[in-house]
Amino acid sequence: MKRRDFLTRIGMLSAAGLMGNQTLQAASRETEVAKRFGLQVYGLGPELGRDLPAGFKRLKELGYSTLELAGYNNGSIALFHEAIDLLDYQKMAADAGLEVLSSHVRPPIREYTTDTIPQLREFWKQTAAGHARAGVKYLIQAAIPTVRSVEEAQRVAKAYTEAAQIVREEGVQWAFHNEANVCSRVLPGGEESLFLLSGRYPQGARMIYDILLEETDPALVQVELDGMALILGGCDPVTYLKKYPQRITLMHVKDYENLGESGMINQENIFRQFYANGQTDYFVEDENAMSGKQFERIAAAADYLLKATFVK
Amino acid sequence: MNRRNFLKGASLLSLGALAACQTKEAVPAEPVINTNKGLGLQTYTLGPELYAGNLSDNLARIRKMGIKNLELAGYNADSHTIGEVSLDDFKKAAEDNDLKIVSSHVTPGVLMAGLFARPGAPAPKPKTFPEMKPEVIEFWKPVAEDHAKLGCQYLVQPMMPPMGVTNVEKAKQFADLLNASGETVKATSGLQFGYHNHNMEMAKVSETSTASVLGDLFSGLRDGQIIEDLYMDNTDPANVIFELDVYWTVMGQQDPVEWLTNRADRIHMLHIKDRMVLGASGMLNFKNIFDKFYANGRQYFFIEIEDTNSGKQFERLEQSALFLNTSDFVK
Repeated sequence: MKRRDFLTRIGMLSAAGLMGNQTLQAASRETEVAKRFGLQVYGLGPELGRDLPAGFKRLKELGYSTLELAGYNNGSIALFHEAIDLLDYQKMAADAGLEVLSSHVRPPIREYTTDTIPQLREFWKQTAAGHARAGVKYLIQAAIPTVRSVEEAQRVAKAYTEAAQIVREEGVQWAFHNEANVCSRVLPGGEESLFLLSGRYPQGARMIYDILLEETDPALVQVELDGMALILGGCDPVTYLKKYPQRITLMHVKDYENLGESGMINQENIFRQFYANGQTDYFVEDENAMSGKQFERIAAAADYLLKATFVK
Repeated sequence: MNRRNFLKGASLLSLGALAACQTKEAVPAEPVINTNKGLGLQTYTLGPELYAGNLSDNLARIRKMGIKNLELAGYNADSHTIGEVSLDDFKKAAEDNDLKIVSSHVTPGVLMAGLFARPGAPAPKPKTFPEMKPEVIEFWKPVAEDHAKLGCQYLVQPMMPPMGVTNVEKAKQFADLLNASGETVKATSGLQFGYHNHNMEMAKVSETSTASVLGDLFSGLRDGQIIEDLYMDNTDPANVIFELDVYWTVMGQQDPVEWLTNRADRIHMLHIKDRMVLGASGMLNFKNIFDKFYANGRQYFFIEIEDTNSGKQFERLEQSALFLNTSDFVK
């Protein structure tokens, strides 16, 4: 029996004291509006940039509450549109009722070496300051740099901890996002990462994702888990959510094509574990940015989340 | 006022019916367990546990979980046994326990010959697919006869030589082998031949490739052809049906629902498999898979769980069967 039906039957639904009760709301449609979910703005491709204020308004109407940016450069956001000062961008979003919670950036360096790491420090310091100015809570490294061996992965892990430290000094939380390639493995002294279709990896092979999780400072480095990307890499997102309940503080929610329609990701199990961990913030991501129909797709994603009983 | 205090105030907390409503999240009513569905089991799942003690008792335990259909593994072409058990004894034990032997997994030995060399010994040069074709055809004849005696409907080849298909030509040659196998099995016994995939069939090859590559990762062979597609396109639907392993399809970076949509006519059976216990990981949406499978008019699926020497396979199978028996999308 549904809770609402039960309460109706025992004649309690009319009790005034119950109307404000959260449990009851869970069964009502109003709660759908109260669900808090976000969008990684890259997912709208060029469609958002045509008219930002109108686009933000539409997103709010669709049910989105938070944004994760992409395209930050030197104080401005330039993503399928001309550079707009982050503060102006944020004000436009706020006017529509959207909170800019997070931002994806790509450090200008792909090879982390003793020569390039000082440049990285400077990049993070400036980028963090730019985001702190706008009150953005999270700064996310979107993809891993080149990793060919265990030693390189360890060097990257060290640089991640250092980045997180620098960023925190500006009052912003650093985290890293995964693509499928974090599930490939590396060997000590290796010359390239491995991803096997069958058979066993050579002894000593370690998954890049595991090195980055195990060898970064857990007090500093957080994780934005992209479940679909992990699955494409052959990893189970629920296993990682269980293993790192306090470090995985953000998620990208996406599917192989349309949210909820494939057979290759169990959104329900992922959400349940994320909530069980006490976490709440996630962003819809859609990689078909150039389809020309992204607002429709983003609307369908919102609809899916609003209807899904396992989404709070 | 929180809910509990309110309820206390209303003196309702003692109502038995409320017991399930105490937590803040809506707790659904006790799930309904229906053990009268068409559940199937690939017996490989149980490893040595299937034969520990008494086979018939173990089959009874399986039947009690709601499993009705079996797909066998462990057929031995030399001794004409399943595991260590004679065909007649296995058949009787299944019949005694109201279990239907629907299908059986069998691999011609010649396919894998030369791939797994003994330590220290030089690997013999594997035969090419055309070279092994006569041997493969001869292999299937007695196998098909044995399985007809078991009352089986399907004979399924569960794998291909790992890394044995490196380009389009080799994929077509392997498809030709499947086709000839299916033709032989049908002609000998009337049984339907099928092929079961792992992840390697979801990799891509091209005319000129020297290794198969998974498509979406690491920019691989974006314009290549998926090996499983080449098998489907180069076999006669009357000779070869496909048993889609949904977990291995995902591990091959492919969506099982998309395959069931695009290949509704070729995929007749499923392996229902997850990382371990069914329904526990984040990697599969079984509802979408079953919905599509039934919409295609199909019925046979078999649970499979790896790690067969764990000693915990019966336990894992019970949990998995419970998942299916409490999921209303499973018929």
